Amino acid sequence: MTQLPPLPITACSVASACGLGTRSLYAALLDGKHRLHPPRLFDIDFPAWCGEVADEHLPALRPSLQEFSTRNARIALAAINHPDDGLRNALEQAIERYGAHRVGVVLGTSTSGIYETENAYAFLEAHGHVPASYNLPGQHIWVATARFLKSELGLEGPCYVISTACSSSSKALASAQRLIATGVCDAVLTGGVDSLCRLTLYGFKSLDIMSEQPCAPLDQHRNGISLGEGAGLLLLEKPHDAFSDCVHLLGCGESSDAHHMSAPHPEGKGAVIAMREALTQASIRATDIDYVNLHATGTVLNDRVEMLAMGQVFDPDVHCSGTKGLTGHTLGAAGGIETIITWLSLRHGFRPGTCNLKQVDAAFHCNIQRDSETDVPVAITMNNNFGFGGNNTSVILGWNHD
Amino acid sequence: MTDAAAQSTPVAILGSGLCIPDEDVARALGFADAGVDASILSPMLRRRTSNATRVAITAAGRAVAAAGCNPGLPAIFVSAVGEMQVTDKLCRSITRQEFPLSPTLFHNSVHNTAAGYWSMATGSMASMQAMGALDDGFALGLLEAWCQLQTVTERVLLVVFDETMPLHLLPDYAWKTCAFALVLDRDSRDRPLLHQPFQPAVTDPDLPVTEFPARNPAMACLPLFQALRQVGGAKQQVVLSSGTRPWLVEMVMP
Repeated sequence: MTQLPPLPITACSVASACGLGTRSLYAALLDGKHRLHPPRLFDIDFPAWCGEVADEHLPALRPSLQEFSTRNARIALAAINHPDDGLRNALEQAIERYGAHRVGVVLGTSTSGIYETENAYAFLEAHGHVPASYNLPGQHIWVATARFLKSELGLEGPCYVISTACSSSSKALASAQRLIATGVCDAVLTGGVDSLCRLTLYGFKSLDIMSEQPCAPLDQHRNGISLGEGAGLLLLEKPHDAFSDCVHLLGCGESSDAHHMSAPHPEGKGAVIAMREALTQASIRATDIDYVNLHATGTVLNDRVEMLAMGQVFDPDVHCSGTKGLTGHTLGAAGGIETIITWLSLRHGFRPGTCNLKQVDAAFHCNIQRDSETDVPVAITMNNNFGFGGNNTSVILGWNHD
Repeated sequence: MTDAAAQSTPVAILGSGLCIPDEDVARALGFADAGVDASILSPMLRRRTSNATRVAITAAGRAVAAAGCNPGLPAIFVSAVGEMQVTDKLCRSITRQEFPLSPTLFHNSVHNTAAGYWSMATGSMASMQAMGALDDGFALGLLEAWCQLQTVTERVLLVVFDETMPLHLLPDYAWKTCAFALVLDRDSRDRPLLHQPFQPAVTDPDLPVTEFPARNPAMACLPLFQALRQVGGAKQQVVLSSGTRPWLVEMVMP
């Protein structure tokens, strides 16, 4: 079998309720104040809090690519264009280095352009047909935003989307890793993007798990989720000496619960398998992990089961936290954004806190960080994401120095 | 064919299955059964599933049975739009403000619905992939399967499906709900073998332009299923996607 070598993350960028770019996200993680507010994008008939990307941050798509124009695509473009992170520049260099046909796109998304489809249905109800501007293949179909990025950036390698609900963009990282390890690609733009829509807000409301306050993951009084939107995009490349100072992707683990469409396995069995598989792939032990970014959605059940699973894999002193109180749960983008949070933890030597956490649930026995801590040694991190359908992932990043 | 694809380690097809509405097409491909048979799902799960999921799971079950293997293997489900009929119902409810939404419809609207129910039906705790690439879906699903077989698993189930589109969204796309499935194995050599799928760098003027019925992405599986009917050790290139520069794969029959 082909080994999965550590792969350098040569650039990454992010768009979320915390603003654009990894620097804004880092600043927000340090100050720990949530960026949630009642939804502004559309009206809903129940109280909820959301992490929206500010409209003024969203660029327009170029005229020749208007067929792809969605909020989803605009959020992704905002991250690509952010000058400080230099993701666009890194992609141009990758094309120059390897050739455009050697650079692929594997993107995660949970809802793609469904916000635009909801708007088209409102028009359909009133006029009997969808508006002329609506373009299902360019806007709604799962691969739409990935195809937009491929065209926008002039990439010619394989282009596909992974959509496994809240684990989508972590699984995209695992697919990108395999495309490079097998020599199919030399570089892959990966991670994920999702935009807010009514379907998810009312959908989670129907499951009775929307919090009426800003969500408080891991808190003893947590009572549900707050949704968010955003993009977390990363450029993975094949190993090279020139990239030895980059944070590397060390391993991924993927599993299923085989239990229920929307509830986790009661003992966290699938989550345990994903975490252990990631450790095995990275050839490390649980005690080597310096920080775990938990999925920690803020529902009573999800957090309880994740901590049960953590207890089966880690010693109680493992440092961990959940960051969805800051950004909201960005669904198909969560794996990308939260993997970038672990990338920031490695780059800056800090452990993020758990925004909105007042009192840790007394049943949890891990070392849950309430406040961010700086000047701490962080060499290897894990990021967990678990989705509907019992779909579990763990992603391990680290420095590739020995 | 690119050098890398030509020299790539091939993978074997252990079994195949399908679920399509046209029985004549199924018979021509050598399949006696083409209708929906989701008996692998418990009655409770069957009641909760959509037609698209039942069709996908039917094809998956047939491929696993034909391969004679345990269904508890990693799987890749490929679809351009996934649960579009479920999404259609939810979008109409939202427009008409018919709240609360159905919680079952909501969790059945995710792209990995078929993958989730398949894992519940089979008890498989292995990785379940759900992906899409519109016209390139079958080609890139096969590429994903090929990559998984080189790195993380010895055997994988690939299921390609799409369902009828609501015509008010896309009037020209009269897709018929259908699904095709393959069980692929890394080590077997006495079976039909597939090399790494590849896309030529330039358009080959000699290659006929392939279009599938109503541009249904899942129907891109047809040429490979037709090629599987042939016998003898001939090598051939099989078209995996539509258009003027399609994805191709080299297939070697035992």
